Amino acid sequence: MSKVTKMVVVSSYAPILSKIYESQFDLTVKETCFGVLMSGEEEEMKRATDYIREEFGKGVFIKDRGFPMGDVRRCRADRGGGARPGFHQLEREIKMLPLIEDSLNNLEEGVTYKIHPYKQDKKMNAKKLQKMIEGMHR
Amino acid sequence: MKVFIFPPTSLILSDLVERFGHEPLVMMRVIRDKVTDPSLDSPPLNVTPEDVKEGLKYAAVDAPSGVRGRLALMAPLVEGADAAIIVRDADYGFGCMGCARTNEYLRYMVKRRGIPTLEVEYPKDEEKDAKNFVFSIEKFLRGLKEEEKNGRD
Repeated sequence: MSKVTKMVVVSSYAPILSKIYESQFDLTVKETCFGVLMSGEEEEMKRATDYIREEFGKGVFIKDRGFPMGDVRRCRADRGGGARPGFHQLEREIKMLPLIEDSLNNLEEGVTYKIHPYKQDKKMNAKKLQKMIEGMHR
Repeated sequence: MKVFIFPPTSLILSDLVERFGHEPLVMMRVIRDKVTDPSLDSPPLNVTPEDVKEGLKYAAVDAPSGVRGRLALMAPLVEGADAAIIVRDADYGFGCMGCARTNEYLRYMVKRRGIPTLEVEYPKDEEKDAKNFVFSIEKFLRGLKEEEKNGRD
């Protein structure tokens, strides 16, 4: 079994750290500004993520993390400060989490919502392409 | 089913795919294998000269090595995917030649494979945008069928 690291991000404050300690999972856990980082064996991690999702509902968002916790190639303490690579993407998404949480709650409550389809890319018409190549398209 | 997400490091997409019972194919897992496996590189790097050579499978030798190196990590995710969710105009999905061209190439690969694909946009500050985003993804993932697994090539 290999070791995995996961990021647990909360949309608003939730006492995740104390709950994980309370449940005595065999994991290394570190509290951060956005939630917690957890590292441990895959099976134990699965139990922990299931527990967190059950306990905190739609307010927690979990994703994998490639580098282990405190890795010198990523840790700010060793890199002389500045945002950790990848943090800007995370920060942008964290701002959306309260809205996503509300939508997930609506989904669970069975709220009906008419989806407005996003514009999907379509295949270009071959004749139109031919005309473009020939410089005849207007 | 295995779902490729773009941006491949997205927290929201990765969580939603897992929440709705599918397996997200994400960059973080590739990086984990890279940086935790024992190798000759010390410390192991994200992209090695070997990756750039592996990238030749996807792009010509005159493509920038940054594109080929990135493709060596990300293109296998598209190859293994049964479906894809792409965020169009993602705020941090831009970049220099390496990132931007790799992103374009990945979208092209997804289309060529012919797997079920959903293109969405990140919600702005309005609730209805977020609802549209979540409900669309849920509907798409619920509609995925086992027989539609793996695209045409």
